[in-house]
Amino acid sequence: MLILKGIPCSAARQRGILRHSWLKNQILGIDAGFVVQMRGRPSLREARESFERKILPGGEFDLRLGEARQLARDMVDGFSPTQLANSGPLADLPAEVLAAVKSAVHREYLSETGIEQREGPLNAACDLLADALREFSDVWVGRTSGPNMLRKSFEQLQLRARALHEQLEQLPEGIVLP
Amino acid sequence: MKIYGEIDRRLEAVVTFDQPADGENYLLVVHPNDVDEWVKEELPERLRDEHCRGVLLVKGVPAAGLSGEHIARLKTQYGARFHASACAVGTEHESTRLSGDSETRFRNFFEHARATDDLPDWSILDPRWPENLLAAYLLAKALASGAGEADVIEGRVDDWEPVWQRARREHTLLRRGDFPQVRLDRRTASEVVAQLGSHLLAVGANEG
Repeated sequence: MLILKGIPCSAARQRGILRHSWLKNQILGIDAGFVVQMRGRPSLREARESFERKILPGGEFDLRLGEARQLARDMVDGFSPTQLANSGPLADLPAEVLAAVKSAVHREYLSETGIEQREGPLNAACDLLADALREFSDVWVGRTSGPNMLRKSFEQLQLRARALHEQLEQLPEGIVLP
Repeated sequence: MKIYGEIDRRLEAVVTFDQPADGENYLLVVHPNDVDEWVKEELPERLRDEHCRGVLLVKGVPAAGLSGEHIARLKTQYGARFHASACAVGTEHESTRLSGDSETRFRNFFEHARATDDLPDWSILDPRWPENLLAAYLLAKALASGAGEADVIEGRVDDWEPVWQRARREHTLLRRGDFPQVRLDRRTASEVVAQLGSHLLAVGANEG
């Protein structure tokens, strides 16, 4: 099995955005102590407002969760080598021959990658992260929650984000050639 | 950018080299007699010139005779400004003389280089993934699957034979010697998968 890095693959691109630009840079790479400071310090107003736009319901993190679920739905076809046959030298083959090539190659790809079995764990990780995000945003806006509760809630969010990060890590980095 | 050449006439059908001039950005095309010595002694010197946007090695053997590991090391050391042509280009009396696909690739690449002032896009010269080999690999994989689809594909050989022949030519272009299998059918499919798979793995290793 070979991963064709460098050939445009929207599923791989989405995987990279979610794993790196979102989970790593915006959740895992943030210190919980800084999150606590952000909420309390007037000098960090700009950072706080930007952070709130991400974590509150309907914010960027909710959108990213939607994208992660979409990736879980699309990934079987998204990493499939059948897309190589839709352009390039095979694209001009008669429909019956093209369909036969794609069908046989797709079956080999499914068998070698077991990618269909990854949809469930990926969705489960999204669900747990969504729960943690809801709890954290409630704590963030709740006036009665102290610094300790806020820190623990953010650390729980990071724990769930790490689990989703690991699920995404296991997906291919490009189209798979069985 | 300008294109400077330190090479014989093997590329004259696709490019006219410029006279070196101060202050102009340029691509340097080189045919060193001793490649190992040239990349060791001359390459760092040439790349020290900020106007040098790229150095392209062209020899009568694929990748100027450098191993994949050596090229990967040079790219790590000197960055993307260095490239060795994957296609062998020999002189006019040699079988590897510029013609067909290789001529088209070089022509397109030099036209691109003339029109840009940035780092050249080497993938125009050497596509990162050889599409004809990939297409043949998929055909062979489907034939080797032994399933009902293989019957359909084998029964329509006239439809895909041109794809297979283009793949064989591309293989010859990128490797020394002809492809070992002349025919692709159910009997040879597994061997073709192994042969092409091995070549594509090597390409993948260079992609990182």
